[in-house]
Amino acid sequence: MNYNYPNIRILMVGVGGIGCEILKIVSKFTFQEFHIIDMDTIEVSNLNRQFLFRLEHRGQSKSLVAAETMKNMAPQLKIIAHFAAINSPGYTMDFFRQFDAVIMALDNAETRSYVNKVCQALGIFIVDAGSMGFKGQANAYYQGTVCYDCYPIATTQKQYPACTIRSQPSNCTHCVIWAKYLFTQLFSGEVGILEVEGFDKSQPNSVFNKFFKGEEMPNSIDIVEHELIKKYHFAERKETLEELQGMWFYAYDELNHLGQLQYDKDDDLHVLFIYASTALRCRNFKIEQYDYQQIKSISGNIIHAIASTNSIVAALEIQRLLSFIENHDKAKYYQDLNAASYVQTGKKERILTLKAAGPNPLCNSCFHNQIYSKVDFQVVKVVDLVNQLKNYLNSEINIVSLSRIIWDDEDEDDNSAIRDKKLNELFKLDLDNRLVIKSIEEKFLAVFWLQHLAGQAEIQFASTKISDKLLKFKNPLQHKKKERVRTQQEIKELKETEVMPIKNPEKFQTAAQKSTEILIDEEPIEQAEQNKKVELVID
Amino acid sequence: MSSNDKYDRQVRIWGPHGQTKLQNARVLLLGCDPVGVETLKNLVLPGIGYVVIVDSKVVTESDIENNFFIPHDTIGQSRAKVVLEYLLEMNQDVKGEWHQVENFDVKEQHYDLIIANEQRFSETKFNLIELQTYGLVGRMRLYSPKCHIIETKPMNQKYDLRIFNPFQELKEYFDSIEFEGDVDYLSHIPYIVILYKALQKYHKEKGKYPSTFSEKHKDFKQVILSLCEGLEYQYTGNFYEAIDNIDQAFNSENWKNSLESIEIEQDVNEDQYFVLISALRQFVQIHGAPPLGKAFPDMKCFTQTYVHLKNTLYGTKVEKDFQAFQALCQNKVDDETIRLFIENIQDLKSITYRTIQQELQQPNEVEDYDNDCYIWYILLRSVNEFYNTNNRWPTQEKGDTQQLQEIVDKQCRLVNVDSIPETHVIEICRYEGAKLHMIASVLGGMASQEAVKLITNQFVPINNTLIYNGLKSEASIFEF
Repeated sequence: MNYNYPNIRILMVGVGGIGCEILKIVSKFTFQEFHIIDMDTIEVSNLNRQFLFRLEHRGQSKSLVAAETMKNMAPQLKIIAHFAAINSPGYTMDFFRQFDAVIMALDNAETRSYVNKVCQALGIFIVDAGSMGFKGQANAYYQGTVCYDCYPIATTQKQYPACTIRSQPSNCTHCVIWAKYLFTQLFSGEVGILEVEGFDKSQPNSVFNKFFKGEEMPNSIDIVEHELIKKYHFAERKETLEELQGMWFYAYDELNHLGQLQYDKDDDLHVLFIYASTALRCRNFKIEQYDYQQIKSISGNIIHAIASTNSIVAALEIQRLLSFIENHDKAKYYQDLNAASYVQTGKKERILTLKAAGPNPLCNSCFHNQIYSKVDFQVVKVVDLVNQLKNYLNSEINIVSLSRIIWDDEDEDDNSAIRDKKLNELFKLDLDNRLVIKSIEEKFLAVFWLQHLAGQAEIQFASTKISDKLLKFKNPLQHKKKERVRTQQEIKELKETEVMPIKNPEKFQTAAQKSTEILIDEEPIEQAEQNKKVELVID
Repeated sequence: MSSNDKYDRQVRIWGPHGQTKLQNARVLLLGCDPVGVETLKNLVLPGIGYVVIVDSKVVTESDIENNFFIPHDTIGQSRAKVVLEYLLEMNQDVKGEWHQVENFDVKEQHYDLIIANEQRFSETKFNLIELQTYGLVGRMRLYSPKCHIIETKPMNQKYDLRIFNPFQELKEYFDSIEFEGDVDYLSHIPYIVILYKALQKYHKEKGKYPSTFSEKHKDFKQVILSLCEGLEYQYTGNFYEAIDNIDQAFNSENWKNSLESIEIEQDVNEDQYFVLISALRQFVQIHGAPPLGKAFPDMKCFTQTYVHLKNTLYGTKVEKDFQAFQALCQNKVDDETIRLFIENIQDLKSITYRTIQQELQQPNEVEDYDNDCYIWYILLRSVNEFYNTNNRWPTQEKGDTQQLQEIVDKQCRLVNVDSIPETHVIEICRYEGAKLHMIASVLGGMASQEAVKLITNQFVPINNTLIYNGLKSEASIFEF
């Protein structure tokens, strides 16, 4: 069987465990171009599954090394590698527009959500996969289907009361979380729940006495004679108090000299500090401690990862992609799309293919009211843009950013702070600014994509046909269990809302006649902050 | 300063002792077609000890086309050699050897696992995974001469908290707790005490213990709530924790299921596992319950209470039970294994596999199957028989489809199936034995997961056949 697609251009986001498996599968394929992008460099803990990399590549760019390795394995596959974050300057909608399909091979929800939003707006087909230990799944998204953001997955982060962490730990996990706070509050300068006063940070003894010695603890610990220990090596037996202190003092001193640090679960020194602090606190409270691996795992929220599961989900992803590419009647095809999950349930099914639920009409990532504008941010004032938009939509408007009203036609005072500002004071020049527009009267929702274009002083808009139909749906999240299938009436209404893949928005100069109010409830998309998943603590 | 442990992300799944078993394992791969190589790749990356690759052929154009692990400049070289070199390059820790021979005597050495790649293989001495890909369809068959799993690692950890049947010291403790005091005290009563008290109250009121689902989750729940009447909602966290853990009050008999499913073989002395099972049976006879495990869940209560419960009450009993159980094992099992066994008593599992020979002669009949996978299994048997007769795969030529149809009818009679759809017969003729890397990638991924289970003796491997249907991305497991 031959897989030649000389007219197809693919973008793969992420060149990690799943990315390597994807490249393995497409190594015998031909595309017009196959772009790969990843901001990460190679680490030793990648090598048990990311088989395009070797020990000597440590510290080098994943995408560049993968492209180099593949040059020998698959010379016909025109790989173009980007060593960057997908949401960094230069990778705007205009970059995405060149692709027919995007393969997500990512390890975090933020980037998936970002890529999903852009692809939904541009009508680009997406396949996505993820794995965790023996479990994994693959999905496909397209305009008109359920999208990545439609039904947010409930967070499984467990919450702990602050007082338990601070003063009443009853298990080792509590102590790990405490140790993590100690780390971030001492070395990252972050604010946390611990009291970090009343000691001299330059004196390790003073710090130790503050945190491990005290009447309030069942078992106060005094500093004892110890030798510094640079590395954990007690897998075979429980370490003594002297040895624990040796590890703690070594790690504290090193970390304190390094200054501002982000906790890194792959940095042995960081883990050493967390381990020693946790173990000491467990002794403080006479709690049985977990072993080194478990403590490390809890501290880093590390996801289990193995090659075999990646190999499965990557293949499922490519099967989805091929059936999309080879199916010419795409409009019909995407209605039949489904999601496949690989699960180890112990029951009969190992791969479950589930019929995808319908899109959530209130999902602001994939609804189809889209407005586009490119203007010169350094010239155009906020008030001018808003007035023109009001004319275009024929309506009074509100603007809200991050749940905060920044523009409100009903309350002119609120607008004064920003009305005469230039756009560049609010938005970055080199990124897509994605603003979600929603009428206060719940008439309709729309996404407003605002981009900077030097020299474009005149304000122009392009949009899909703005429709209020979507809001007539009930929120399916509340009815999910009862009716997973939409009624005929709803399907009919959805069809009427005119779904158009938009590659050149300039062509769709359809003005909307509805009365609208605009809420901007999202900030411009910037490089997703490295999401440190620290356990939530309620005080 | 990056972590030097490249196996970090997997040790979390199977533990350091699982990793040690993996690193000491010898695996034999028979045949270098994509699916088996894919499986082996997923074992080489996590650091399998030693691999032996046997294949009689040399690299041809078609290998280059469908096998990622055969580089394009190796035409004419031994497939076994090329694949071994490529795989070992991925992980310097792994060692191996290759043989370019037709008939390889597997009985000369010990193997922890044999991967029979695109062939049926009847050896019964070793763990075995048979693999076949055919167009968009894949088949995996497991066999193990001895499969007794202690660490089954179920999704939800079960605890044996003796709420229903407390041992003497625990009962005394439970009975000593009064539900009178200030808010701080009441809101820190551990949920196991609440469950025990609620059971007593229920029994007093109704003259029996809750037994049906509705009694446990409706009536019994009401009794728990009655214990915290008058307490403001924000202070009832521990009572709601009790409601969330209602099942803990009724799981004291769980271990019976796992114990009864295990048959003891004659010469008990030979195998540690049977020594443990036999000791367990004796222990239960004497004490009325299995030895208490160490696992103890987190619960809302004062730290001192928690430590007292865990270390003093339960902890002492755990140690006492361990010593009694250890004595019953008569020094035939090491302490570490005994402890591991006690922790897993609730979830022990044994599998007796049918041999390949038994399956080939007469597969088990399957009554209710809800997808096409059973049909594909019958068709795979049929094309294999076609190959054995003609020494080639069936094509779309009319003569071939007719001959295949006759074989299919015969196979159907063997398993008591009336007929199978003609569309499927036509589809399988379209494949002509094609091997796709995409299917190999899925099946190889699953095969290596089962391989890890067999080698580490953790988790429960499938029993015994998995069919993957790439047309619909679905898979099912059958015991043939």
